[in-house]
Amino acid sequence: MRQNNEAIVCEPFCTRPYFTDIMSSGPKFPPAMQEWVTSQFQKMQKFPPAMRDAAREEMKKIIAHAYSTGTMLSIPWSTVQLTSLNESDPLKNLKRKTTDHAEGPPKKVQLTNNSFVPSVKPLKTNVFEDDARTRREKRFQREALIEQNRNLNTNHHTVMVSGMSVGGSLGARMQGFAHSHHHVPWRHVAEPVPDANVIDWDKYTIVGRSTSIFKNYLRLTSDPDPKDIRPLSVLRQTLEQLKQRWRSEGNYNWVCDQFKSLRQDLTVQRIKNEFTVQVYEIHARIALENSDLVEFNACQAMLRTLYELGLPGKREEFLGYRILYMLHGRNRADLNFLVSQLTPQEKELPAVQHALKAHMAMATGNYHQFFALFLVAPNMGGYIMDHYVDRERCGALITMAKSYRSLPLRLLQTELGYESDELPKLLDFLTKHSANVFTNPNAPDIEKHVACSAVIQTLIQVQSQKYAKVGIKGSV
Amino acid sequence: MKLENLAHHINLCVKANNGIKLASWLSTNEPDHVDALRKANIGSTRDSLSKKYMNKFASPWDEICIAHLLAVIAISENRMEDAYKEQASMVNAFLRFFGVQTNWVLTPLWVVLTELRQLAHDGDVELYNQQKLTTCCEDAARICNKAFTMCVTDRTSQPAESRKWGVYRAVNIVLKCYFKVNRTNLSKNVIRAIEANSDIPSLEQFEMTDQVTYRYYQGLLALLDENYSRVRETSDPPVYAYICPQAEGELSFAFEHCHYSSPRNQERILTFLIPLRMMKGSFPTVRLLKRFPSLEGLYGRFLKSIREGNIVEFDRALLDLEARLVQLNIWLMIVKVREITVSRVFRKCWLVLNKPSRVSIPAFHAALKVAGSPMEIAEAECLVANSIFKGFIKGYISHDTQLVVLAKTDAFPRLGVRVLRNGF
Repeated sequence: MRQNNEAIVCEPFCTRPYFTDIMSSGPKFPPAMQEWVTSQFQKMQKFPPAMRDAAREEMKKIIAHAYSTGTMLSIPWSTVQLTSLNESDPLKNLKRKTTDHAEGPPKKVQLTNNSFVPSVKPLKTNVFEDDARTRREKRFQREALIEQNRNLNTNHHTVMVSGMSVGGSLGARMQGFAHSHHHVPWRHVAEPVPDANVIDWDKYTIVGRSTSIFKNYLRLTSDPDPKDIRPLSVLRQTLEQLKQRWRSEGNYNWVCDQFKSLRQDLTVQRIKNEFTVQVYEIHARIALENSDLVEFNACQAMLRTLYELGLPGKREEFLGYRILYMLHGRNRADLNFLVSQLTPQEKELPAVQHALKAHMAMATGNYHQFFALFLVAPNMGGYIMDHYVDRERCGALITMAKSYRSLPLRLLQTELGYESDELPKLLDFLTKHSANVFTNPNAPDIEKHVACSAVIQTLIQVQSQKYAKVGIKGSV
Repeated sequence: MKLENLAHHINLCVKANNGIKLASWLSTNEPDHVDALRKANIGSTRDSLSKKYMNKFASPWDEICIAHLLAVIAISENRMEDAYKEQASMVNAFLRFFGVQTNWVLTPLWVVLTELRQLAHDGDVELYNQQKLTTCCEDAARICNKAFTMCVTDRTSQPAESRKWGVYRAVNIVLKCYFKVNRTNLSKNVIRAIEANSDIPSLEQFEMTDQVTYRYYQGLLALLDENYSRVRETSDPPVYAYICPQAEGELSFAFEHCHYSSPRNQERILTFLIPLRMMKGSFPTVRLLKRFPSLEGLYGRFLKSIREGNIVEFDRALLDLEARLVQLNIWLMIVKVREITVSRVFRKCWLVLNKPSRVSIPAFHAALKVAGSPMEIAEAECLVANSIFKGFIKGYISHDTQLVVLAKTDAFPRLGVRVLRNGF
């Protein structure tokens, strides 16, 4: 949704289809007129499509008239207004966030209401109107400039991405990662005063008005309606309630749904602050607890961008998660790239060190190290490792089956990262991998020995069947 | 020389389908015509030239000539970023002409693309010094990709004259761009484009230089993806054939066929081939390393510590060279090679004990400690198991008695001889 709007604003106006009939043939148009057209287009973006169409038609008529009467150069374009763009309506709909300029817009609205003039003739001047108009123009120009800056910065990695299909969204994130330092910390200077919570404030940002705490998630297909969006104050309450509900009820599907709609509200209102970070972190952890790697991945990707904006949060924890997560996928190139980009300070962090050691242990087949690390994974890393721990166990079992004649279950229990009371789990694992062939099948479980030579062939087959390729939805 | 003269010369080339001459007229490195152009057009700007020449020559040659001249001027005034931009617009315009020609235009294409990349590099250096974003190389990558697409999609020419004969060279240029800007993950798309297109003649029919370069990059990509693990049983007892379909195979081919007069290229190939072979247990000879002193500096210490079974020295070297290795993406390979060092320690231990038929795990554990790598005894057992699994030791472990029972013959086989599995 946002992409479309940006594209319209920043596309050079002369390529718009409805202008080609006028512009393609014929002389160049005076710069003043071009500026006017651009500013009118920017103004138009606030309005619903129907009004935009009307405005465009009107604009065409004005220009055609000016061209045919030869008055293009003489009309003071900056003063010309389009009747179709009645300014009062959108201002009423969008409640400006900060209260300290509550007088501002309404006053302007009143002024312009009185001054609507048929389009072709230049406006009768009125001192207050002039002020308001120049202020508006300046604002739109500044916003246009900021828009252009932002597009220049985003274009050079979006164009790259759009020109060629990137290998998976992880690949895309890696690209973004490599170019993260280009983010322009621009300050929005125009009025109204931007809310400090909202980075990237622009005229598309909506302020919500809904007060309902809970809301089901619906994928947005059109412009969001402010009365359905919850403002930041309500969202804070929502988060508290969700935390309580999660603790008491533990209904993951419902809570996940709520979190998604919470995130959606934050995105639509362009709120990127500590609260946003909190929301994503909490959702990520809840997703981990429920083995929802897809949702977790989405959250941690977003968190990365938020951290890069300089927002505080549990960076160390999530950097560790990220590395552990990448051990799951088969995209080694991206993982190696990530590791090569870590700073020395980052490498000192305990969670990161743990993840890197796990990486090395995995790479060298040091199952002893790997499962020792698994058992002491910091924070919630264990949940991530859970997803590939069986794969590693299978590999370790093959190694051991090749090096031993018989494997006591006791050894397997300690070496394969099972806790002291998880012997049944181990037996279950062996059965699932067709490795439950024992030299002493009648002995009590704890004394059993796996017969290696009998088991090795099937194990290898099972490994290639079960763990051939890991495909995770939503990532590499 | 005024632009009219330049256009006249170009015209002659185009009429005669003379790719070589056209290439020299479009180059910014040919001293003769570059000087003449510069001298005759001092002070020209895009506006002045456009006013004078736009629509005077057939499109797109007007843009090409103007952009070329402006690039020449910018280079002489050391405004590299502007030079790059002009060259980029020149190439873009040239591609429009290129798209409707047969393969005689490949020669000028290579020249302009090479210069484009050169200027992109210079432009980025300039931008970097000014602390701005370095966008030129990425932009160049995009343009090269466009050129490549045009080579691939030649539907109108005869097979012998088709632009498809430029495909592998074009893809090599594109890969070079991607590697330069560290976007290696985009390379897959380009390669897929080639593989998907069945009209392109097979790689073997292209010039050896293209083949070598292409295989070099294929090998690199496979290496980055750690694409060297595939296990196949062929007999009983199971013999794990070492298959490295991508990385080692491609790089070996590249090395063997690399022209003897390109030592720099050989060195680059070897930088990646050596660790791959090391993992297999086959080490470069002293003679080879003498030929390439920088490789000696990179790998010499590791090789020495492997032969001596010196873990301490190995780890120290690993720490010292970590930055460089990581940058070259071979750090992980060296870590895997460390296992070989560990197995050498085991061998030494066995020799010291006078080659017994059984060695106790605590003995190996102590050996590791002495060699500088203390750990728990269970971890030592794990490393022994890995050594057996990977073929460095022949025998088996008996856990309850904590003994390693060694094979009667060749318990510690020579490194190059063993068959191994390289898994992860």
